[in-house]
Amino acid sequence: MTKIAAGSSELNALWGEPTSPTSLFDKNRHNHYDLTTFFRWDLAQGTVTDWNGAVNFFASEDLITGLMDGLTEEVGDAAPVVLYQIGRQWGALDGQAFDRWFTEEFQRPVRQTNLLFLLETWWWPFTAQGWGRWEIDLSLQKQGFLLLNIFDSAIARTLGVVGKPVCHLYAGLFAGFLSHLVSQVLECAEIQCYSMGATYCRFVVGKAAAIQPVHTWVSQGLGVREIEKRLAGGQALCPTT
Amino acid sequence: MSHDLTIPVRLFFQQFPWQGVAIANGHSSLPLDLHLTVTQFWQQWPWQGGGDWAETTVPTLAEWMTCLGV
Repeated sequence: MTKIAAGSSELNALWGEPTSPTSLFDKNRHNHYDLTTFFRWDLAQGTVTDWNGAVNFFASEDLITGLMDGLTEEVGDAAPVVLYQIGRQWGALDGQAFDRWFTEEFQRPVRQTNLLFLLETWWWPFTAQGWGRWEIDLSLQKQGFLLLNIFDSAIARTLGVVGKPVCHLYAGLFAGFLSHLVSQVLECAEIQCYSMGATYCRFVVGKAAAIQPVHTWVSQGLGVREIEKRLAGGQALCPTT
Repeated sequence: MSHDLTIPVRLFFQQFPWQGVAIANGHSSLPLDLHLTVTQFWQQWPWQGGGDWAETTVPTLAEWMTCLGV
């Protein structure tokens, strides 16, 4: 077993309502992301429940490879789209769960929260579960884009260098979660991937119409700098502060 | 624990046992000017460093939604 993966709201839906985290842990503790604090191990039941009440399971890299191969065999070239949609649905469901546990833990409304703090708080459980560290880049926020870096993508690291973006599940997850957050349909495109030989994966999130050409640019082989240059050339939506 | 933020950032990081870890991790291609003072160094980043970034330069979710035209 080499990875921890998929602590999700989808699993909550399958396994029933999660146990309230406050009944299990000290709700006032925020730095709870180390292995033995974030996860609650119930050997008798054979379950691993995380701080937020989601049931987790451990998955090996072989499982990830098998899922990818199996999906590709079933749906062929549509596999990336299927993975993206799975990620999107996961993100939307996780967004609902996040609304609950964030508000409960921090006693403040989501919309009035500092964006970086909010997003970092959302991603920390994923980091603890082994989905990789991330970095938020707001340099294109005035153009209406959010840039995200993922270090150690579980999927890209598993598949290795294959010459094309492979983190469709992540892209869908970001699109789904952020769409839920802003109550509007957003899309996400991976513009740089470890599986393309880069040192980390980079994603851009924005309105659907703005992201559509990004997919074309990536498939045309445009580099990340050129893509961001084009995105930065878009019309500024917010005044400079 | 306080630190002298007027010294060059290279000297600042050399105080710590994990110095050089960024280079080992392949981040050395980033255009970092390690001759800047610590304060200047952090002010290069989008959140502009310092203890007040959280309330001044980063939007709330509601403000970001305005940026997106929501």
